[in-house]
Amino acid sequence: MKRISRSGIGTTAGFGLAAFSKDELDSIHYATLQILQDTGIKVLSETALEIFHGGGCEIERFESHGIVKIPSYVVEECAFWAPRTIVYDARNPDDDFVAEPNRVGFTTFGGCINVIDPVTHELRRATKKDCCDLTRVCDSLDEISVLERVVNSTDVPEGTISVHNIEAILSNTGKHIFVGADSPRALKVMAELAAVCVGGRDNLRKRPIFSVNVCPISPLTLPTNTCDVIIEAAHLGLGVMIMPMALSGGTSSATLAGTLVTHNAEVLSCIALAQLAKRGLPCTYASTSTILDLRFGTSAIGSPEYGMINATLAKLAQYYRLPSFVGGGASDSKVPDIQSGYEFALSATMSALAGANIVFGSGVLEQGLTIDYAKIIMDAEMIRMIQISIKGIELTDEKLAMDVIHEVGPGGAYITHEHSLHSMRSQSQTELFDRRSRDGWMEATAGKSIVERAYEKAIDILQNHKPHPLPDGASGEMRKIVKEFEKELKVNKK
Amino acid sequence: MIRRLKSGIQRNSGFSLNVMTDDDAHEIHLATLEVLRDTGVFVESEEAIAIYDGAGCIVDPKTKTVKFPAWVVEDAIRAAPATFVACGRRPEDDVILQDNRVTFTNFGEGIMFVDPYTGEYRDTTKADIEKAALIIDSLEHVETYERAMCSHDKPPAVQAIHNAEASLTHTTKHHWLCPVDRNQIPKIIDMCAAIVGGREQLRRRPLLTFATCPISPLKLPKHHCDIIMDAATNGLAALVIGMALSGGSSPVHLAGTLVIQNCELLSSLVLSQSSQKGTPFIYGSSTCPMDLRMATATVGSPETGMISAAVARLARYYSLPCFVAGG
Repeated sequence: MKRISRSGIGTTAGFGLAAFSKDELDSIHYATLQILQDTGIKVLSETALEIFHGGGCEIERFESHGIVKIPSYVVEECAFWAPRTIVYDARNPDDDFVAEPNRVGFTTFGGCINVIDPVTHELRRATKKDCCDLTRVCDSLDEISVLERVVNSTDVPEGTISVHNIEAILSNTGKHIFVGADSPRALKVMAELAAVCVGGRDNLRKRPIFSVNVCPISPLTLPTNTCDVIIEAAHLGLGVMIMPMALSGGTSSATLAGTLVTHNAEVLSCIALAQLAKRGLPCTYASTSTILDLRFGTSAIGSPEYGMINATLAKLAQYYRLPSFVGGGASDSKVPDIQSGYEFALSATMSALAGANIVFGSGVLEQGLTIDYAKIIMDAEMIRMIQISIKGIELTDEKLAMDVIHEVGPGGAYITHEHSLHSMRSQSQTELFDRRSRDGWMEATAGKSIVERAYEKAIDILQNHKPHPLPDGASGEMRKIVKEFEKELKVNKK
Repeated sequence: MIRRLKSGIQRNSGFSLNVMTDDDAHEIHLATLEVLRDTGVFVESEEAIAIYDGAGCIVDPKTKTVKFPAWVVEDAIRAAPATFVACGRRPEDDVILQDNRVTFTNFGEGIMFVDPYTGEYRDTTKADIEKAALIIDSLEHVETYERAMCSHDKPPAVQAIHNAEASLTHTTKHHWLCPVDRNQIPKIIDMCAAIVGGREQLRRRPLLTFATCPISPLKLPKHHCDIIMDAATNGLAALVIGMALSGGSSPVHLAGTLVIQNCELLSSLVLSQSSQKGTPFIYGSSTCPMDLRMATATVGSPETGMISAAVARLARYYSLPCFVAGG
């Protein structure tokens, strides 16, 4: 039968979240503008106050800080100056990530302080070696698009943690890196380390292989370090990823709508600072906001609200035409159990359907304190399933398979039809998730739990995966820079 | 500060999934009409074939093939009610099923059981059904009850009756139950009537819906037709659950699978509406892919969720209540 192609019909290119109308996003935007203009933001950095003042903001000075009131035109202009499309450049160019609207990638949660040891399964403080190992595991997983600093190197001197973190991460991945900085000075040193890996500062400016995480403090406060790191990032030409963690009911309104407004105000004020410091500096709209569970006094990142808030903020980022980096998949469970699986699936799927550029949260347990190797591996498999889901159902003539349906007819067999053989690779495939019959499962796994099998896979990766090689001599050069920085801070143990 | 009401701005009242556009749904509809018209479905029951004949279908009694003009299908879609009240034994258990109102129920039916006391893995029994019904009865967010298991300890010819007894006596929620064959239907209806106080009362507040499945691809077996026809004549709703296996009994591509399943459901709908116009019909799906590497039905795959989401969307397109797999 001839099926001439149809003239343009409205079709969906995948599954997506229908969350808010344009009018509703406008409402959040207007409410935000009003907060920024009338109530303002508390800013603790003197340099930042001057920049805001120079940009047309009104400053009220107090002893320890200033209140910055940002006119709506400044907010909107700054949001407009931030680049629309960002490529998260990677040390290995094959891993460059294009952060256009609705292109969904994933990464782990960041900045955990505990780790469950993959061999002994013991819970302990995370060390620099863990930072190296976890980075290498993430580097090997296609499902992880960019690297967070998965854990903090808690065994190194205070003030040098971020420098040690990036040394560990640069050495173990070729992917783009998101890291926080202890201080503007530390950020400068981090940039030197990155420059060593890409053949100099100029190259780093051309292809910044890492972005800087900055966190405002809710409600509506920009601490000194946050401001000064943004300003230093602007000097260095490094993109910033602005991640408030408002706790609805604690540091923001107990209603989610109110939380969205203050969250948005915090992000936009940082964007304003970044753009006033350097027009066109890449800014990533980020979030790890959630509810404060008022019964337990904990930040409930496994809650459905976490998914709802972060999915909405991904939509809001699209409204501002900015790349987004939002939470999804985090868990409050203490062990990699079924609770952690449920919580991952719900919020990660929501944020992915919302079209967030990076959904971060794999691997994490215990309100963000603890990272687990098995969880990273299992989540990677779920990420693959989510990626298939957001692709949706394609309704082309080929996929509708009308001629095959007529041919097979009532009661016929598809399984033996040539069409099935040709198309079978389009099916989702699992590795750790078991789809065998009960007997087949017993035979293949001896009843070993998925968690055990995931730890085994992690250990295998640790033993065998080789990350994208560093340039010759870069390792030694980096070690020297780190040592010098320790000396500078007078924390060098030797 | 005075914050006056905003004049009509467009709001979304909640989060939902963009699955497909109306154009997309229309595409599937047209493809379905084409298959129903040109290839048709196999209908095992002669009584049903006679009803299809009377309804305007083109039937071939020799091959038992029924082909459908588009108008027959579309008339049936319009005749079926958009809202179904799933009545419980008590009015407070009633649940309205319509456009976008989401409720949950348990899976059915399991044939193996992990004993909660001994941990033993074994065949299910009538006593297990009673326990499951009791648990479902206690769960606030499971609004209706599907008979969870099968009475393996009873003879197959009367299992459905035992299933019904075990269920009806242990939960007041609305029941989704497969009567398996025509012989057991009157007994189950008598049981329900005894509970609610007579047949008339049962017609008014049917606390049970008959569930039944076509066989993919494109086959309506005799018991399936019988259940649909008997449900209609007894004033009970029919829940028709498509159970295609994408890659096994329908195309690997989900689009083609949706077409096959839609053909099976809409041809069942025509039978239901031709038996008794206005009989509530619930558009159901438990379709999943067949993992062609493992040769298993993968109810845990992402495709199962995607198919169910698309089926729910199609049900909305047809303004029919729906019942889909998920979880």
